[in-house]
Amino acid sequence: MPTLIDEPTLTLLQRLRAGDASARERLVARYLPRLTRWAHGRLPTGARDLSDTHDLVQVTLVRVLSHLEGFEHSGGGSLLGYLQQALLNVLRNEIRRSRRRGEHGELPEELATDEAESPLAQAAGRESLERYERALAQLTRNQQELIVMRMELALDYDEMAGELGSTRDAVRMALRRAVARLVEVLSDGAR
Amino acid sequence: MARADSRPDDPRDDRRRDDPGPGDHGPDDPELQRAIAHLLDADAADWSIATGLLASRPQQLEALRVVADVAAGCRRLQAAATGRQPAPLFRWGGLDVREQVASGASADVYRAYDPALGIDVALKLHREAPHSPTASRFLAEAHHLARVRQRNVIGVYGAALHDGRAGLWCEWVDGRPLTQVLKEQGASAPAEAAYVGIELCAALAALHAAGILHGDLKPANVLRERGGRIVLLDLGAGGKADDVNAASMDYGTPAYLPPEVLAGAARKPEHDLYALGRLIETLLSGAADARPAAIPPALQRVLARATAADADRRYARAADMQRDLAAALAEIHGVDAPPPRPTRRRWVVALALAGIVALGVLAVQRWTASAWNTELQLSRRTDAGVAPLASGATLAQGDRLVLDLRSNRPLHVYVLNEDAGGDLHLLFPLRGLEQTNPLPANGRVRLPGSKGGRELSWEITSSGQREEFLVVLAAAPLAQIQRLADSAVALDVERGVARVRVEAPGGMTLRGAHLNALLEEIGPDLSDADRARIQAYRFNDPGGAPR
Repeated sequence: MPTLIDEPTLTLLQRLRAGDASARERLVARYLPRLTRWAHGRLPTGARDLSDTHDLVQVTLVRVLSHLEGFEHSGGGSLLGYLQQALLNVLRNEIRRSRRRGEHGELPEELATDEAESPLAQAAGRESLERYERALAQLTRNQQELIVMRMELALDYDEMAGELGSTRDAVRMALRRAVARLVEVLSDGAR
Repeated sequence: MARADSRPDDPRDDRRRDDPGPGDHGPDDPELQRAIAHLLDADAADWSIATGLLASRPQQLEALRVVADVAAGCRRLQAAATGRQPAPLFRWGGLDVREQVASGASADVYRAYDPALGIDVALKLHREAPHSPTASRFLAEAHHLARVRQRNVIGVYGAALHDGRAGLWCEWVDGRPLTQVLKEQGASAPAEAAYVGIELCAALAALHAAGILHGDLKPANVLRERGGRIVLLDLGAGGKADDVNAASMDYGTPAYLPPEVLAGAARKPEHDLYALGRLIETLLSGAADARPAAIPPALQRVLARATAADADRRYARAADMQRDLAAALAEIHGVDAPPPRPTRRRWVVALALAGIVALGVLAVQRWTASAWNTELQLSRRTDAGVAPLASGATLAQGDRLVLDLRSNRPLHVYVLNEDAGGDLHLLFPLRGLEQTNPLPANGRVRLPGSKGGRELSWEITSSGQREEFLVVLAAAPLAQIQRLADSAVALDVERGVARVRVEAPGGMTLRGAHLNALLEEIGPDLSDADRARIQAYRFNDPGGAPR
């Protein structure tokens, strides 16, 4: 059966630690498409196009996977979660750099596409996305990782189990509890 | 994006330690868990279900809605990134215009691709000269919509003049107008109609708060997105009440206008609520001029008030009508008051109860008289492998089911499901699955199939009262069912089921109205066993959902 995860992440990670450069390439190839889509959704429209984003993500993945000491000392969590966090920091810098206005001079400002807004903010609604992110930040690292993997990176339960070294059912139950906690934080915030 | 700032708590401690107060609903609350499971596990979460489950808890529902918005936004970006794009018809502004989807009196609507956003958008292009009065009104519509950001109001991304044509582009909604839903599915169930009403109240509240009246609320101007989100569009007749009245715009549809407006009175935002009352009646009756069947009393009261001849008796605020509709929906679902606070212990018991439901008799139909040999087998998938379901087996929440199929000829397969509430779902074929009709001959085919290289299953997520599954095997595509596949009734592959029982061959009588109607439609094909044949399964849970 062709599967997304053809060789367990853990095995590749061990090979990489043992100095096998091909394992790094495999890991980059595994995560690059998903993290590129994710990053493109998060960058302001005016910042980078898809191919630029692809390059940015690739460079980041290679850099992070070449210096795994950070991951070893990050205190648990999955490799994918660690890479996504590292990428998030890179994106924050990118967003700071790219804050510039658009070119819709002849239009009323409210009608011009807001180039400072990311595709995800446009697709999900800016207010919902901001509330979601504020609430997510109040969850444990483990809960954040589960929610980001399923909702933002679109992993299925089997893929998540592979990344987290857990079972499908355990992942599903933990994710439901994490989302319940997120809903709880969001409900409290509304009061 | 502040999640890196969170405290590095013990990752195993996912539960809230403090005790929720009386009347509060903690994260282990079974209704919330069911709504979350549905949101996370369905391909497209159906909002009407979450709304029904959490009707009496507006804060939780609103919180879940935020999560659903983000989930849907992420899905939309993923789908656009992975989908294949046809060559553009032409370019307008920075958009690749892909196909024309509608044509109105003064404008055409296209599906276009925005390379900057990486998503599909809907582009409405005005046909007349850019400085004509209708073009001004067209841009005014964009002004009005751009001022409102609410999930039930179509989201406008921008408007501009390019190549001498005024255009506005907005979110692409993968769905159908309510007129089409009515045509294809007939009258709505009361819960569905109330749900649509609640969502549209939210849309109208946002418009009215911005001082805008819609002016032409009717089924044609409302979309039901795949997954259930209700989206209000087309503000061509609307705007600030003063502007609308000053322009003496004779827009609107008589059946949805209150009597005083037909008599010449000035338009007001609250007239939209009268139109909404009429729209709900239309949904319940199936057509604007038909008499609705029995309407639950609570919903009847809301409609009587919304459409009262005396304007003073009607709703003045969308929020009031929304509150009454939510109460009516709760009554329809049989949860009139918030239930007592559930404890974790009760929730564990609920799972244990669900685990002892038994599987009934199972039979597989064979058609030995024909040269076309087909075999079907419903099985359970576990980590250890796939085991055929036999008489006396037990199903539990979390169990995964697959359907194995063999045929000595290529064939077209359709799997449909109808629940006790009369909701029809197509389980196969589905967009996004790697397996598609026709399926190959000679060799086992396992449904529902795979997606992204991963084999999928139908999963038991909760117990329903009755579920019927109809498997139709056909030598050629059946247009009557293909129509459902094209319109994508729902891509929800994980329906709630508990007990499986299959009727003996020959004695099978389906109860689901939609499935029976479909059987009647394909009757001529079924009369020849070499053209089409069916197998039906019924999943019974006489005790209803265990708590």
